[in-house]
Amino acid sequence: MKKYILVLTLIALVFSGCRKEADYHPYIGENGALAYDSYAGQFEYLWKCISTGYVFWDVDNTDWDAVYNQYMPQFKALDEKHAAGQDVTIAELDALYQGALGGMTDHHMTIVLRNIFPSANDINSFVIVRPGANEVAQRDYYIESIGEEQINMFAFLGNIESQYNIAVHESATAFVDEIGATIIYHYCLFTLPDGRKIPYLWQSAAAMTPIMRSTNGDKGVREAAALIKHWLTAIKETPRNQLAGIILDNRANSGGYQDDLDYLIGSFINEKKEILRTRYKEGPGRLEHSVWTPYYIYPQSQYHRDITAENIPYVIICDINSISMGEIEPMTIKAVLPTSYVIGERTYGATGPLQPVASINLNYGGPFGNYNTMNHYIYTSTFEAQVGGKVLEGIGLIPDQLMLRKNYNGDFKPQLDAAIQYIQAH
Amino acid sequence: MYKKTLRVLIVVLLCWTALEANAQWSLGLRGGWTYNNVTRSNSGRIDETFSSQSGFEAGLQASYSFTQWFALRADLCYMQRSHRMDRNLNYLEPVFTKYCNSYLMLPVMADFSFGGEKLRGHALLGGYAGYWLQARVKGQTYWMTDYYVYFNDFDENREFNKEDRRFTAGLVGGVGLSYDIAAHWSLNLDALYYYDLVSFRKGYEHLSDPRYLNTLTVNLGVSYKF
Repeated sequence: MKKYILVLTLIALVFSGCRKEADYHPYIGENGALAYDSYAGQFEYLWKCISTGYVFWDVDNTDWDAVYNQYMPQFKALDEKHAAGQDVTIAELDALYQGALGGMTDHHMTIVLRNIFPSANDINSFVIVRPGANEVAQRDYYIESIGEEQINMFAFLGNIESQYNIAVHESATAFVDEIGATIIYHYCLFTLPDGRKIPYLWQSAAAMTPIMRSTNGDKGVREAAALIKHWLTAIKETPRNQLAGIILDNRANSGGYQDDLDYLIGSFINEKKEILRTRYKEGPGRLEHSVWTPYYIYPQSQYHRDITAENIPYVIICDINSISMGEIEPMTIKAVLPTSYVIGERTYGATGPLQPVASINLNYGGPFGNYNTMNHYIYTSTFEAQVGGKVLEGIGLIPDQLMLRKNYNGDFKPQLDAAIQYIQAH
Repeated sequence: MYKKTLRVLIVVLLCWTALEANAQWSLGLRGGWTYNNVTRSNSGRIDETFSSQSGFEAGLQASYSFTQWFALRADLCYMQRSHRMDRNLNYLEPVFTKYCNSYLMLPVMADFSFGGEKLRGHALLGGYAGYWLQARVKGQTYWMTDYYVYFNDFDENREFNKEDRRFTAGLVGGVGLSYDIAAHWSLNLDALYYYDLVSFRKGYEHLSDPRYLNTLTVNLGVSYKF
């Protein structure tokens, strides 16, 4: 009997040996495993983390295994150079990482890497790769970065009363603690020749929610909250025969809070609406995704007006620097509200929701690393699709009326004129 | 050479003829409970907990007895091989996924039997091939904004992709009992363990992640002896 047991045990051992072991899969939220002491090790670690934590593989044409095969020998060569006592410069690292990662689809993605053996010849000690910015800069209608455009937009709006008949013009500059950024708003109440009004709002980012919820904000936050309320109240209370339409100007809008959609859509619907779908990573496989998760907006009562029933035009202006929520807002408004109309340029294409670092344990994705303590920081988003499945990541929203700006430093008026003309015609 | 071959053939034929004296076909139906889990290296993946899930199977069973104590048995069955994945670092406990997998399985086993005329014990050992027919996922997911978390239940088919390996094969073994309830009819009870040797995921050139299914089944069946 013992002989048979021994034979069976041996057979079991032989066949259990037929099963293969997995390669090491770093968990992107596991800080303790982030040590590397070579350029090749740094690349290997990032390559694996992105392989397991990046959510766009089925729409990203990058051949990730080919990237490894092409660049790993070059990083090993840098290690050999360093071992021989020669400096490896940021320029050399930048060239390799731009080649390896600079063409990825996620337009939120930002990769920041430190030179682990800093060179005395380096002016900076880090590499920054921004695939989205690389792609956008190649578009034939690219004029300026968002920072440059915002400065130009401030000038345009600061002088807007000289160009239009405006009954009310308010501006506010609010420092929003939650995102550590300054947001600028302009509210204008345009008066058409027939006396009808158009409440207009420009926002440099999507931060209505923290501003409106703030109970202890400074003067700028209080002014911004009052300005937003004035815009919403004008939409809600202006009699229909005096309200020509609504304009939301999201040009040079850098993005922000999904919750703002409660104001921008929830105020104008009567029933719950599915506006978007998202999905997360669910395992280390490149195509291991969660199911699509619907995101719903519910009717909001405070500034409610059924603009669909009253057939009130809702025009959103966007452009190449409408980024993230700056473009998700026109996408979702367009998808849900039939009287909406989008004018401007194809948007940036960074459409994935951003999750806080703490949610890695839920979605496997999102930002990971720490530039200060780990020599790298990778900022990436989750995946979003419109209802119906259309994915605009890396593409952006194409407006109903495509209208390109042609000149640096201005040229904002023709798009605004087109918005007003559309409203007048409807 | 030809003579040697001829002699071997004659010996085989004689043995076969002797076995044929006890030869008997039987065909049957069976169905029962399955209990499946996943074997997977946790190499670096500190956040996942896979757990077992129950299911059912149903199918046909055919056997051919060469002697009173030895038969070959082949089954063709639909088998659920499901499992569940929770995130052990997850701070939102409701978020989980059940992977409900359906397979078509074809085990072929040597059936060594012992015991009396009516009640006999069986020791079964063999191999199998299988095909992953359908993948369904159930569970709860979420949507998080800066201020709210929403939960959504889901229960839907999952489309296969290029990372899925739908063919599988492995070893199967177990024990069983049969009891003759009439001249041609017998009841069968068996417990089998399916041990995949083929990963249901393909992996990548520089990052392999094999995962294997193991399934315990307990079946009750009825068969007819010709």
